[in-house]
Parts: sequence; structure tokens; C-alpha cells
Amino acid sequence: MAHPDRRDLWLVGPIAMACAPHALHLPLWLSLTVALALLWRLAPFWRREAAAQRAVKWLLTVASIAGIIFQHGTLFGAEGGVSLVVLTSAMKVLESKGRRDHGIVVLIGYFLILAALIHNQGLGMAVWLMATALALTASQIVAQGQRVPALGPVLKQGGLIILQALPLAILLFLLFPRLPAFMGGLISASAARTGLSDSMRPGSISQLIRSDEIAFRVNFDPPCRDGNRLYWRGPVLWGYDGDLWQREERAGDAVDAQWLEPAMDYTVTLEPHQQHWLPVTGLAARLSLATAGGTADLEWMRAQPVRERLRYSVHAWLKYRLETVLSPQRRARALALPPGYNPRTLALARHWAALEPTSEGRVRRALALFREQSFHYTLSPPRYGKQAIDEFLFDSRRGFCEHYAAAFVVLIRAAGVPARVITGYQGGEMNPLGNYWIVRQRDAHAWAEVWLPGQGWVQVDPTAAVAPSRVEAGLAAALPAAERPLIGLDTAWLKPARQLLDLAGYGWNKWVLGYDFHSQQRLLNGLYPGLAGLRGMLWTLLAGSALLLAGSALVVFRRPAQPQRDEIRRSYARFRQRLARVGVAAAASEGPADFARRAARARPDLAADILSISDLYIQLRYGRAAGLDARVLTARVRAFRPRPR
Amino acid sequence: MARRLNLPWRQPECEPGPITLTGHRLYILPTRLGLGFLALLAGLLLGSINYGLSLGYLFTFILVGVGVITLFHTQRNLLRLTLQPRPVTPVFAGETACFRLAISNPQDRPRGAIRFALASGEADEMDIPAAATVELSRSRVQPRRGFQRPGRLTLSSTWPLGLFRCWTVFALDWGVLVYPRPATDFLPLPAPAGDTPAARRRHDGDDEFAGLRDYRPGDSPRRIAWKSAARGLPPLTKAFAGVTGSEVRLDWDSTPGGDVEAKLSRLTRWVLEAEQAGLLFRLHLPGGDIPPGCGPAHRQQALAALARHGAS
Repeated sequence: MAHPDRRDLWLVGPIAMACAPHALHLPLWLSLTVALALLWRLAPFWRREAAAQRAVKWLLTVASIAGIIFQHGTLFGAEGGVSLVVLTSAMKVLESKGRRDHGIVVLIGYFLILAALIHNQGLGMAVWLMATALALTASQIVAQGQRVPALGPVLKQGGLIILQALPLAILLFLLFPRLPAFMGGLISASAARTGLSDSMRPGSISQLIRSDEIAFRVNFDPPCRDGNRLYWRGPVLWGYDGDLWQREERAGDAVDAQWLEPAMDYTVTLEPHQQHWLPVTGLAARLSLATAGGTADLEWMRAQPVRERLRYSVHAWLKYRLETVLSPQRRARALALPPGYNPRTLALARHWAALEPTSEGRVRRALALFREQSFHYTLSPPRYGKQAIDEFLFDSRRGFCEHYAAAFVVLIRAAGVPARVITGYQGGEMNPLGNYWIVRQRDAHAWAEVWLPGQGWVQVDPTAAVAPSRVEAGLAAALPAAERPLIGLDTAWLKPARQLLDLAGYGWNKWVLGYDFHSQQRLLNGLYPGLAGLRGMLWTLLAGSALLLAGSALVVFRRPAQPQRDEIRRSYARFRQRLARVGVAAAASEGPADFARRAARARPDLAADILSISDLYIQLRYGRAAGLDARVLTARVRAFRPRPR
Repeated sequence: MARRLNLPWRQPECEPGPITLTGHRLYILPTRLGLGFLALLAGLLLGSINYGLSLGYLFTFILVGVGVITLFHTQRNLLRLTLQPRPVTPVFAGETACFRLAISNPQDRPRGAIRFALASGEADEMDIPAAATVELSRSRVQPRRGFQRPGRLTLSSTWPLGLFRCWTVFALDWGVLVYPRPATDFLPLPAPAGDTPAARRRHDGDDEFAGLRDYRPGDSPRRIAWKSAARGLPPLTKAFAGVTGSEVRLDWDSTPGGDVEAKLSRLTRWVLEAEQAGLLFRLHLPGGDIPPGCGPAHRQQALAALARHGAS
């Protein structure tokens, strides 16, 4: 027979808050099971006798564990393990009795908070999880108390504890050495993230385009006004099998490039995309990441996939000459086409090759084709068959940037000009509040490079020939109006709010999430150069912790102030001042009673006030003045305004 | 000044009370939940390192801070409480004595879940509001007569988070007077000193029948109203007024019984019976004499003498 207990609300509420962020990643059946278990615990509130039966609880637990194993294949690792802990928390809530169990539930709740951070460390999530931590702490206070107190005081007490914990937490955050992951390969966070991959097939980019997610942010120094015109280079695709374009990694190709123009500096904050490549615009000599390396195609790659948010600064030249001498092997690769595909395209290209002696002329012809024929720029092209390029160029003429880039490269290769497909991003949105550019997945793009004798690789964007506004004003301007809702653009009035939010998120990423070993070194170096290094860091940490602990102890154990005492003393001092001003000054050795008698004799007209105020003071200060209030004295003194005779 | 170190396993020195709890009287250690919390912190730190969760570090360190601050809060929860023992109502051996400890909170912040325990057994627990006094009580069966001290007392608290237990051990100059257990079998009271036919005659005028009252165990059979009992009514006892003349002398030497405790038990029962019967009685023990008298105070004096018999 269960009675509704207000403690149960404290048991269920915070755990529900801790489980909520996981519901986004857990299988639906598990979320429902957890919700059911939590509600069941509260059942006595609306129906007596409705408490969960033991056998049912066990059955539910065993069935759910079997479900998790079936779903994830394991009970360990980021997904199976977290599923198991979420389930455990709900089942523990269901069977919890007394303080011990309540404490265990709270500890599991704390664990769930950290587990939620694996998926999302954003500012909003941080706020939610801090609220959850507060709720869990308050819940534990409720469990420890003899009776269930009101909501306000408990939250206040919990908030006070967390607030007092913050100084130490911040010190440890700043100075605790950031170590590299030690099991990185063993456990990996959920890998289902969007982003450009090493290959492209028709439709892959137009899928990406529908995502509003941020790909990266760029901070230019000095600020750049037309950052949206820049082409951010991702994987360079050479290989084509009739359907799929692929990166072909060839080691040993040295970079052969000369820079031509004054350089620019910028810093990229890249969101994790589980790939190896790093977006860079222009010809960069070096990235500020030790693990990044450039390829002959001007791609920048990292040995490990980007699983965490990355920041790197780049010094790059926007104009450059790349690979003016093309080796025969690379030339052959840049001309290769799969046999048996797209005969109509090849015929057209051969026709151009006969007409135009120069590579430039053939490129002009190809671009003119896109510009002059009625091609449509659309997110939803028809499905193309085996002869995809033929069907696209001659039949439907509807496609997205990857169709144009692919068709262009096939055409121009067939015409005898070396060419390749470049994938990356182009466009972006300026955040005027933070003065940086936001590049989203919807800015993903594909274009081409052709190799011209004497000039090296030259960038050609066939999409610009079809829909110039795509390059100049972004995707939304280039798409037909009916398709614009597909890409989830901002409503105009929401834009400033979104920009403000993004600025907060950007600062959050930069200062909190991006805080690493190097930031620690810089901080300590700024404090005192001798402190940089692991040893200095540990010493500073120890000394700082000791100081903070002492400080916290002082704050926690401070004696309550005695405002009454002070007020009494202040009021009496003012009383004596006022008398001194009219010529009746107290001697240093004179006690209040003696002084009162003397003053009363000196000013008989004020005697009544002088004597009663002095008496009140003596009562308050020395007597056991139960029920007397210092404020009475203060009021009397305030009203006491003697005039000189 | 070399103060004797106050260590939790030592038998604390006996104090008169009231005791005000100061820092050096308080001990603090993590509870089992606290150790679990520590293990959790280690796990959270490893997770943060492994997944490179910068926010995870921050959260872990906030919990570290919470742990440390809780240490202070737990100690502060007991600090400056004042403990005042309340007098304990005497009991007979075999009965349960209730030790009540008044705990005053002089400060204007409430204290959570203060626990009071005797040397062994469960604790009594209560929250104390700001600037208030509450009483915590523990009961214990007292098998032996005499002045029984509760011994080592513990006041503890794990509030606010249950991660640490702060406690103090103390011994108060405090105890319960345990009277001997009254003998269970009936033996008539010794005849009053003047209870000879001659004396009875002399005192006849004083013995005035005052009425009937309910029978209580230990009433002298001589005073039972047999006539009404014979009619099947509940047993009644005749009450007499003005029994001053019949003084009962309860003498250690003439009390039957094998050993000291048996004699004390017998005397205890007799004291109760004599008092109930409203008789004047005097108690003669090897250690001293209780002059004749009657009434609750006299009874208590006599019982106390019996309880303390043999104690130096």
C-alpha cells in the first residue's frame, strides 16, 4: 500500500530532467519505457494501490536490457552504455526506498548529465543541464532532511551550494591539465553527422543543403566584407566511374604553387564532421594545427577524423598559380573517363575539340552551353539513369551544383582539357554582432578546376553560368521560390535574435568549449612566464585551490553579522556629535550616564531628551533589553536636533 | 596548554552540560554515498578526458566544488548547537527510560536532520528551525537498578547532501535512577509497629472508613471489600482515612529473601504497597534510615534509597 509522498516528486522530476536530453538519441521504445516507469512511480498520487509490482518491474527491466542488446549489440560504449544507464535510472526510481536509494538515483542523474554532453555541448544544453544539476542537488537535500521542505528554500540551499562551488570549479577548469583522449579509438561518439564526404554522387550535396546546421565559422583579421564570395575548398575529386566521384589519395605529390597577392588572415572554427578534411580558402602555407597537412591539390587533411570542434588560424593568399607543370601521370588522371558512358556528351566534346584549338576556347564553349541553353537550377532534379550526364545535358537539364560541376568536368575532359571536381562551401552569412561569417551545410557547393597551359589549375564554377545569383547572393536567391522553404531559411524578423544566439554560441565555443592545453599555457604565460609548463600549472592549481578552500571556509563559517550592535553604536555617536556641535562635548573618559547628567545640567531645556536617549542607549548597549529595538534609538536620535543657545 | 586530544574512539569525559558544539569537538568523514560520489567524480573526469568534453570538465569540477563545500556545510550544520540534558523520569528495572536532550539552535538559519543516538541503537532525528529548541529522545530498556548513565552519546548529521557524516561524541553528567524491580509474588506487609491487639484498640478511633476504591495489585487482602467481591462485582478496596497511627517498619534485616537484589525487590514492592495503602512507613536499610512518612515524595525518597543501595 503506497501513499503519495512529496519526496517522490523530487525523485522523479530531476531524473526526468536528466533523461530528457537523451530521449533525442535513444530508441523510441526505450524513451517510452523510461517515461512509463517514472510516471508509474507517481501513480499513488492519483490512484492508491497503483504502485508497481515487483515482478512487473523485473520483467520490464529484463525485457528492456534485452532490447538494448538487440538494438546496439552491446551494453557498453557510448550508445549501449548510456541506454543502460538511462534505463537503470528509471528502474532505480521505480524501486527506490529511503535515503540510500535516493542518493544513488541522484548520483546516476549526475552521470546522465555528463553523458548528455557527449552529444551536445551547446549553450542551451549547458543551461538545461545546470538546471538539472540544481534540481538533483536540491532533490538530495530533500532526501536528507527530516521533512520535505518547501520548493523555494530547497532550491535556494541547492543554488547556494552550487554557487559556492563555482570558484573552485572555475579554477580547476582553468588550470587542471587538459590531457589528450586515451581511448579515442575504443569508444566513439555517435558518428551520424552531416558534412561533405570524400566522394560525391548526384544528389549527395542537395541532401546536405537541406540542413541548417553550421559547418564552420570564420573570423577574418582584418574583417572581410565579402566573405560569402569565397570558395572554401574541401575534398578534390579526380576519379569518376560513371556515377561516383571520388578522392584519389596519392602520396608523394609535392605542392607546386606560387602566391601572387597580399595575403589575408582568418581563423576557422570547424564543427565536428567526422571527416579528415579541413576547409581552407586560398593558398595556405601552414595551418595552426600541428596534426594538419596539405596535399598537392591544396586540400588540408588531418590524420584523425574531426570528432571535436576545431579552431585553426590560416595565413593564405587568395590568388596563386597552382601546378603550372602537369606531370604526364597526373595529366592522364585528369583526363580519364570511364569507357561506355555518356556517348552523346563525348561526341559533343569531340566536336568542340575539333573547332577550338585552345583549352580556353573549349572551356568558353562549355560555359556558353550552360548559359545559353535553358538549364534549371533546382534542388529536386529527376533521377538520372546510367547515362546520367547525357540525360542531364540533353534531356531534362535540371540539376543542382553537383550536376553542373560533374557534367562540366566530363565535357571538358572529353574535349581534352585536364579537369577535376572540387567540393566545399561557398557563401555564408555575416553575423554583424560578432563580426564573423557563419557557413552552414546549406552553403555546400561543388565546382570545377581546369588545367590551362601556362596558368596551371584555374577555378571554373559552372553553376555561376546557370544561376549567377547562387554565387553572388546565396542559395536562397538562386532557387525557384517554391523550393525555398525546403532549406529552412530564417524568417526576417527572427534573424537578429538568431544572430545574437549564434554570437553567444560562438563565444561559448571559443572560450569554454575551445579551452584546451594551449589556452592554459597562454593564460599562465600571461600571468607569469615562469608558470607555463605542466609543473607550474600544477603548483598554481594547488596554491589556488588552497586559497579558495580557505576563502570558501571563511564564507561558509562566517559569524552572522550583528547589525543591531553597530546601529546602536552609530546612533549614539551621532547623538554625541549633535551635542558637541552645540557646545556640550563628551570627555574621552566620560561614561554615557555621567555625560548625560552633565549635559542635562548644561542644557536644562534639552534635559528630557538627553536623559531619555542616554537611558535608551544604556538599556540597549548594556542591559538585557529584551524586546527593545535599536531602531527606536535611531529614530529618537534622528529627531534630536539641538539648537545652539 | 596541553589539551587532551579529543579522539572519537576515546571515552569522552563526563561534562555537566549544557554543551556548545565548537569546531574541535566535531569529526567528519565521508559516508558510503560520499565514497560513491568520489568514484563518480573519477568516472566523470575520465569521461571528460576521453571524449574531450570541455563542458564535461567544467561540470565535473562543479561537482568537485559541491563535494568540498558540502564538507563545510555539514560541519556548519552542527556548529554552535547547544545541548542540554533534560531530567529523566525514574523507572523500575526492566522498564524503558526515555532520555530527552534539548538542542538549541541560537542562529537564524535552520539545521537539517540532526540525529541523536545512545551508545548503541537507532537514532532519533529532527530538523531544527532557526533560533529554536527541539527535544530529541532515545529510549532504552534499563535492566539494572541504580543510577544508570546513558554513556557515550552521539549527535550527528549528514545534511545537506549525505556525502559526509559530521558527528560529536560526548558524555553528560546525566542518567536515570532505576528503582529495583518490584517482587512479583505477594507477601503481606510486615505488621505495623503498633499492630498488636492492644495498639489496634488504642487507634481504633483514627481508623475511619472513608469509602471504596478500585483494587490495585498489592493492596492488602485485609482491606479488600470481600462482601462486594462475593457478589461478583469487581474487587474493591476499603480506603481508610487517618491511618497515621499505623506505622509500618520496613526493615532490611527482617525482610525475607536470598540475596541482596531479592531483598531489595521485596522492599520495593512493600514500599509501593504501603504507599498505595496510605500507610505511614519507615525504611531501615544497612546504609541508612528513612524516617516515617508518606506521600509521593516520601515514596520516591524510599525508592531512591533502595535503587542506590550498595552504591558508594
